[in-house]
Amino acid sequence: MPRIPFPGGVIARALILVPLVMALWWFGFRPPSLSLLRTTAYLPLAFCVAPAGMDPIADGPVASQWTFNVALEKAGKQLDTGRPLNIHTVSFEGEIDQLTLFAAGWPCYLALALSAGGNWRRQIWKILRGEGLQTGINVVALALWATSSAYLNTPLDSDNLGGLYHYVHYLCEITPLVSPFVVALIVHAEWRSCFDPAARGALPGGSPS
Amino acid sequence: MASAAGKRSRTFIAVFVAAALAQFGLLLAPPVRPFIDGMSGSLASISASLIRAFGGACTQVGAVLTAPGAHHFSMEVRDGCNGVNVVILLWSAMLAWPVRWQWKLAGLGAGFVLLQLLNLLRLISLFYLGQYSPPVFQFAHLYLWELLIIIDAMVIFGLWIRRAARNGWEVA
Repeated sequence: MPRIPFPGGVIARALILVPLVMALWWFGFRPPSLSLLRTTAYLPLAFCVAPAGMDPIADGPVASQWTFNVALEKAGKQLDTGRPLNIHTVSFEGEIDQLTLFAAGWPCYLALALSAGGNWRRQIWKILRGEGLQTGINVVALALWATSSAYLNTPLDSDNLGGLYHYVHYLCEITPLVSPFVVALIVHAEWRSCFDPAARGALPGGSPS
Repeated sequence: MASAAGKRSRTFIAVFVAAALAQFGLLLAPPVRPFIDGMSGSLASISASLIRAFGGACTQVGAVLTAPGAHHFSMEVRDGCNGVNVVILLWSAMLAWPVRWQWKLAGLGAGFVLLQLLNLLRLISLFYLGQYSPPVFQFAHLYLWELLIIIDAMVIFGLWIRRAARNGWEVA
């Protein structure tokens, strides 16, 4: 009968490194990671989400908030007053505590990548590739979150896509914590080997037994 | 051989993504909400019972746990804290993996129970962390436990497919 070894080393290292790296990030590197998120997201959001000539992300009225400017075209009647309304742009405040979620993928992926072990020189390029992929996911998730938040902040009577925006909004809040695992599986054969005997056999020094 | 493995991988990814998106959609559907909210309430109730059984002080109303006394603190079990997101991901992976249906059903049931057992530990630890250290509570609530439960789901999935392969329950 075929026997698949369970590579406990990768998982065991992840159980130690994920809490350690996440704690280091949370208690020491959260502000710089938020600045990095804002910097990396600025241009993509400026092109895809924000109205022309407006900053996609600006400082909020208080230090704990960012202001998002989102271009959207909506027409209808206000739900509460019944007044006709044409909307072209929505500005809303996002709490930094909530936005931190979109920066959490970086340290989480780093912990998972370090858990893979292996040759450092080879791993460093893989880690950079993985962090690049994670950056793309963080930015796309933030852009979709901002867009869905803008739509959810402007309830009109003509709005029959509210459920879809709510769904997208929910997925955007799950993605930042799930995506590092997906990236680790894509980039690191050591992670794939947890679930794929063929990949384990192909690892340097791996055993298919 | 390689193309068969590639096709198998592509099928797994396609079914996993479709199953996860469908289940997250169901999770938000109004007819399903009472069941999910009921499950959150049950988790809060079991957590409160366990805390009291071990000598702790805790009152529970619906999905809200409250610590009376000097460290007055309340927390509500909601989506994310009830482990349902990770259960959906584990179920999607199990549904997508090519094994016999009996083994899939066993995995869905056992996976749910194991994840919820760990989730009870999460809720009880958060209940005490919230009373003594709000910053640590915030970190553990938003990130630490969520990630540990995802890793736990990966361990369950890895053991589940290992057992299936050992017993020859995989299907082509």
